[in-house]
Amino acid sequence: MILFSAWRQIRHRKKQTVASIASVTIGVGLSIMMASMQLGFENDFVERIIAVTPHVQITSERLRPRPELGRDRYELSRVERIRAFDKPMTINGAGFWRETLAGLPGVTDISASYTGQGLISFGNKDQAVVIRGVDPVQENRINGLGDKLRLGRMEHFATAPNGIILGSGIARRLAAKPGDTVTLIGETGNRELFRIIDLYQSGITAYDNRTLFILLKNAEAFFGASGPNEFNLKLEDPNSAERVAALTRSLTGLESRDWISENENIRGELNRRRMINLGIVGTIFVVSAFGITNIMLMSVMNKKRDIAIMQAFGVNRTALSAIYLMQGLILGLLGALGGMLSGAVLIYALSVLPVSFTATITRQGFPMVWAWQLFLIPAAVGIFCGLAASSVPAWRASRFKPAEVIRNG
Amino acid sequence: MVEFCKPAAGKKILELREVSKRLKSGDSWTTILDAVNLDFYQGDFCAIVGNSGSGKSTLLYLLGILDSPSDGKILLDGIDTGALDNRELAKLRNEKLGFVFQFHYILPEFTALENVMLPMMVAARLSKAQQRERAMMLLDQLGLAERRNYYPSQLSGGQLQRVAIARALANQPLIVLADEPTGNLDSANSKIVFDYFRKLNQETGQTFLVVTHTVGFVQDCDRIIEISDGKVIHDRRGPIASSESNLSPGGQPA
Ligand SMILES: Nc1ncnc2c1ncn2[C@@H]1O[C@H](COP(=O)(O)OP(=O)(O)O)[C@@H](O)[C@H]1O
Ligand SMILES: [Mg+2]
Repeated sequence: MILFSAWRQIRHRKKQTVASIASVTIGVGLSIMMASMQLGFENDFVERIIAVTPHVQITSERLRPRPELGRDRYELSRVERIRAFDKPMTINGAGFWRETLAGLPGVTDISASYTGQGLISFGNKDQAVVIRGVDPVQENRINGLGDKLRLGRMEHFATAPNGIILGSGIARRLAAKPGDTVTLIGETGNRELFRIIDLYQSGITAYDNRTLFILLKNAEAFFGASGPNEFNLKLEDPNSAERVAALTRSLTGLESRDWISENENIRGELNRRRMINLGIVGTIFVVSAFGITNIMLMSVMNKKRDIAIMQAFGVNRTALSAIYLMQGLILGLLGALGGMLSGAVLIYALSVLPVSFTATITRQGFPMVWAWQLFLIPAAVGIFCGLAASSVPAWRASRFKPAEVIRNG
Repeated sequence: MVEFCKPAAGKKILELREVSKRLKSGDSWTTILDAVNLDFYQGDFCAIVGNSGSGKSTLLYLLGILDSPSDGKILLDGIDTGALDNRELAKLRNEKLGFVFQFHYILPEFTALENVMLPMMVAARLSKAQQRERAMMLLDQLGLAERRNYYPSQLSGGQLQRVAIARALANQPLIVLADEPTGNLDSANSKIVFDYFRKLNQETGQTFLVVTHTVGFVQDCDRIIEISDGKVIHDRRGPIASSESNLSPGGQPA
């Protein structure tokens, strides 16, 4: 009886019903789309970050134990995260640490590298750059350097005596191309000539505009160092990076950076975007809920007499409320269904739509994510929205005094 | 002078004991019904008459437990209705009472047949097929067999009122309460309604309590209750023409 009445009432006011369902559909559909897009961007971003930075990087910067007054002297050995006064050129005992770090649980790969600052000069242009000296084979294992080369000349880079790989942004600015010879200038004014083997494009603009690669041994010679100043770790579980970094910090006494902490600011930005999306979607839901409440309240007021006669032939207050709650549920369910469908269509449409972003990340098409949670959560919210919207009308419907309504017409 | 009537043959199914209804109008309370005592018996075919504003509708709503009295007791089929909650009252109305009002109150989103089935659906005692069959039978008796699948918007006022009557009879109520059921009908339709009530009363022994102004109908009733200013001023059995012989002045029903 309740379902039957609810369904007939909904069917009877077609226009309002279509509007109600449409508003839930829009809310659910947009939430699904926005959540998918947001997650897509986040995953894409993480993928890209992980692709260009090691999960954990141990640097040559030494951490000092901080003496704390009034504390037991043994506690002083607790290593705290404070920058050392000076940054040694290289990691002391590199061979030993390399073995030790590679043997840590959860560490799947390790590479040694040397990173320093310098200038690059080509023609009449020059630019400050980050110079990374790497072992091509190791570096490739850590973050897939080879995949990001325009011409794929990893072999050539490994064997050429003075090869250099330029970030695509640097090459563009200098108007240099593979085959050209560029000059690197060190902090002490030393100069060295390198031949461009290939161009590097990660998709993270900040990297592509600032970073260049040379062989580790060339970097050590260029900077006058006797060994690497970084170890890069690849982990089984990228999300354990903070934990592993804490471990290597206390183990080695060296500053260790993990990709999660390093990108904290960007995560903040992503969270901010989440909140904005949530705000938009929340507003849509609230508006549609108010719309439904409004429509149903009007219906309740117009159906005062119908409600009174239903009471007269034996429908009790609980059942009357249930009829309206059921309407809300049906509207919510249909809206949720429509929303899931339109969400799926939107996700598909956006994932095949060719779009390019140039702000911080370069890519083609929106990175959309498919996951059942993306559908079920907004759908549940949509259904809840319908139910919640109908609660006030349901309550109102059960409050009429039949005698008064019938007397006053 | 207040006259009281003798009981009819059937058992007592509805009684009002010192029932008053007061309503607040502005700052003051108005007494609409004043200490009314009435007994109704199975098979009563009773007209309630009185001037406009005398309290007939108020009385009928109380008799139909659609409203609760300010004072006094209403016993329906032996049950003290004052002690019941909304759910129990609704169930009682569904099972024992049928209502017809001046306006038909047919629900627009259901067909004629479905409207008649609704009280049976609420009761949920019959199967869907049985409900359907009974609703069709009632509509057929009221000359609406052909229109049973019409929606209310496709029916005339007279037809709708007949659907409302079929709906009131759906659960074979002990008592049918009607408040000016022919107030919006032409004389032909009015006659159909009254004749049907009378026929049912005679065939099934159902009780009919009908507020009406239609003289022809009142004259045909077994019992006439006249209300004035919230008080029962006449309560007598038999057609008005021969009512004198049925009066038993100054006493309670034996
Ligand atoms: N809600 C109300 N507030 C105040 N007075 C009312 C209210 N409803 C009805 N009345 C008064 O009660 C009296 C009886 O009304 P009613 O039972 O409808 O009379 P009838 O049906 O005999 O015309 C009338 O005088 C009417 O004005
Ligand atoms: Mg009246």
